[in-house]
Amino acid sequence: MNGRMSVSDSMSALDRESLGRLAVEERAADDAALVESLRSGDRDAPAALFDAYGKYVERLLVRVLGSDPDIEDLLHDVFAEAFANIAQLRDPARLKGWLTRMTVFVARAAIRRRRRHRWLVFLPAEELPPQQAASTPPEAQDLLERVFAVLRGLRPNHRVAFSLRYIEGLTLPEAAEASGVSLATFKRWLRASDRAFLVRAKRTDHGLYEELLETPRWRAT
Amino acid sequence: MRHRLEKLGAEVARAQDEALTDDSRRVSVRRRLSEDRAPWQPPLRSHAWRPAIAFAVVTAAALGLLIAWPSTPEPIAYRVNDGPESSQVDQAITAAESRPTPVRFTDGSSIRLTPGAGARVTELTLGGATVELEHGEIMVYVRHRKATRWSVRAGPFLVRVTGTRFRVAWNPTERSFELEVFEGEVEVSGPDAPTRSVRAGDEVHVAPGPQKVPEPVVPVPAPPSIDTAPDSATPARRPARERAPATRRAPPAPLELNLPPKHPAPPSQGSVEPEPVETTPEQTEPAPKVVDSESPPDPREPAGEPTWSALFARGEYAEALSRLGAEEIERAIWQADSRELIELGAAARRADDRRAGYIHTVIRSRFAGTDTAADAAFMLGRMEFHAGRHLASVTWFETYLRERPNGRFAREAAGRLVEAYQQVGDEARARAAAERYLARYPTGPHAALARSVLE
Repeated sequence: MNGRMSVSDSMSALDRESLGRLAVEERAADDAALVESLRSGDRDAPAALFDAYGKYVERLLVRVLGSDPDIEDLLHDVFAEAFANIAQLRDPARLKGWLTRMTVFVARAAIRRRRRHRWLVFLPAEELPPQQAASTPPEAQDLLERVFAVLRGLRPNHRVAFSLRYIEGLTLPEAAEASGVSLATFKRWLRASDRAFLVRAKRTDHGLYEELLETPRWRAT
Repeated sequence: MRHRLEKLGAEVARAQDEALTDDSRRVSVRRRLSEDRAPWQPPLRSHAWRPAIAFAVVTAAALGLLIAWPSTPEPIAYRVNDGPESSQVDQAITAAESRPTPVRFTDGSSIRLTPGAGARVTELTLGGATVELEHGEIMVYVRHRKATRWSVRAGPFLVRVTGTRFRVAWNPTERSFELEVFEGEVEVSGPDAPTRSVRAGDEVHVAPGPQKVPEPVVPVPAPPSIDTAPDSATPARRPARERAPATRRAPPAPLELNLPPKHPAPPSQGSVEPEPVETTPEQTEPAPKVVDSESPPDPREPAGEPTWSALFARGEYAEALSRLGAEEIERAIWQADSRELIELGAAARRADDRRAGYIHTVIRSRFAGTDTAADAAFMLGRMEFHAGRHLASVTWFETYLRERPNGRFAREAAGRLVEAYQQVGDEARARAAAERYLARYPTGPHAALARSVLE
C-alpha cells in the first residue's frame, strides 16, 4: 500500500511539475506573440496586453500604494509607458517581469512625489478618505487603513520592499528583481523596513504594534 | 517577527482582494488607453513597407503643397477632453478635482493636467505651442519634429522643448517649481539664472525661500562625469547632511590654514570661520571652525579632553568621534596620516556619523592620486547609494572605476553602478553599465540584476 502510494505520489508530483513547466512555457509563448503583435502595430494588441496583465498590474499597485485615489491614473501610466517602450524589451518571453519592474517603478515614483509634496498646503491625495469597495468588511478596512498609515511613514524603497515581500508575497529573488536591485540590496531594504515598521507602529499605532507582537491574530499556527 | 509580518501582509492582501473584485477602474483605463493610444503607436518595422511609405509620403507632400499653395499654413490647434478643435489662445483650462484633463494638439503632442491644475495655451504656431501653467501639475508629451517649437511657462520659469516627455509643477502661492524629465532633453530658465539643460532622469526643484532659480550642480572635488545631477540640483530640498560637505569643500583658504607643518600654509590670523556658503538653518552639523595648528588651545575646551593623536594611537576612533570637540576632530582630519583617516572614516560610517562624507572628501583631497583616495571615492558612492541619493552615487562609482578599473572595489562599483542607474530610471545608462558588468563579471553578484536590466 505504502509502495503504491509512494509511486502514485511521485507520479503526481512529476505530472504536476510537467504541467507547471508546460504552463510557464505556454505563457512565455503567449507573451512573445503578444509582444510581436504590439511591435508590428496590431491595433488590437494594446487591448490584449491590458486584458492579459491589467488586473495583475492593478493588484501590484494596490499592494504597494493601498487604496489610493490615483491608482487608475497610475495603471494608465504603466501601460502607456509599456506601449511606448515595448521596442526595448529584449526577451519577449519575460514580459511579465518587465511589466512588474515598470509597475514598481511607477508606484515608487508616486510615493516619492507624494513625499516631495508633503510640504504643500494642499491636502495630500494619499490622505484623502480611502476608496474601498462596498464589499470590504469594516474590520478589513480598518486593518488596511492602519497598516498603510504606518507604511506611509517609511522611506519609499523600504515601503516597496515591505509591500512586495509581505503583502504580495513575492520570494526574495522575485521581489529584488521586481525592485530592480540586487538580492543583497533588497535584503537590506527589507531589514530596514522591518525595523522602521515596528518603530513607527509602536509610536503611532500602539494597538497595531501590540497585536503584532502579542496577540494570536497574526501568530503562526 | 518576520513571520508575523508575513501573516500581517497576508491579512492585508486578503482585505485588498475584496476591493480588487471591482473592475470599474480597469474598464475605465482600458477605454482611456484605446482613446489616447496614438502618441505611443509603435513604428512599423517591416522593411517591405518602406518603398510604399516613401511613395505615400512624397505623394502626400506633393498634394499638401498643391493644396496649401499659395495660402499661408495654419498653426496647430488643440482639443480639450476630446471636445471640439480650438485655435483660441489665452483661454483658461482647468482640470476637474476628480479627474485629469487631457489636451491633445494637432501636431501629435499632448498635455495632461492633473486634477485641479489650471493652464492656458498662450500661443499656437506652426511648430508648436506655448502653454502657461498657472497652478498644479501637468504631464507633457511633445512629439519631436524638425521645426518643433514648444515651451511651457510656469510663473517666472520657462521650459523650452523640442521633443520629449516631462512633468512640470508650479505652485504660485508658494512659488515652488518642479520639473522632471522622463525622455529627451529640455532647457529651463528662471529669474536671474542662465538657461540650463535638463536631461532625461533629471529633476529640478525650486522650493520657496530665497532661492528662486534652478541652481547648477554643487561642485565637488573629483566627480567629473555628471554635469546635471537630479539629487544635486535641488539645493533647497537637500538635507543638511548632504549639503554640509559642499560647504566645507567650497572654502579652501581656511582649510589650508590647518594643514600639518609638512604642507606649508600662509600665516594665520588665529581662528577662522569658513564662509557660510549655502548654509541653512537646518544645517545642524557643527561648523568646521578651523584653527591654526600653532594657535594656543581653546580655553573653552575641558582641560581633561584627550587629544586626537592619543585616541588614534589607541585605535579608539569611534571614541574620538563621540568625545572630541569639533575643533579637535577638524585638526585630526587634516593632520592624521592616511591609515588613521581611513579608520576614522570607517568609524564614522559605522556610527552613521554625518561627518563621514566630509572625512572621505578630505581623504580624496589630501591623498589625491593614491589607492586611498580611490577607495574613498567608492566609499562616498556607497554612502550616497545607501542614503538613496543614487545619482550622486553614480558619480563616485564612475570616479572609482575610472581611477582604479581593476581596483579591489571595481566589481562592486560596477554592480552598484547598474543598480544606481536603474534606481534613477536612466535605462540607457543602466543597460550600458549592465553590458559592461556582464562582459567583465558574468558570474558576479550583480549578474542576475544586470541580465534583468538587459531583458
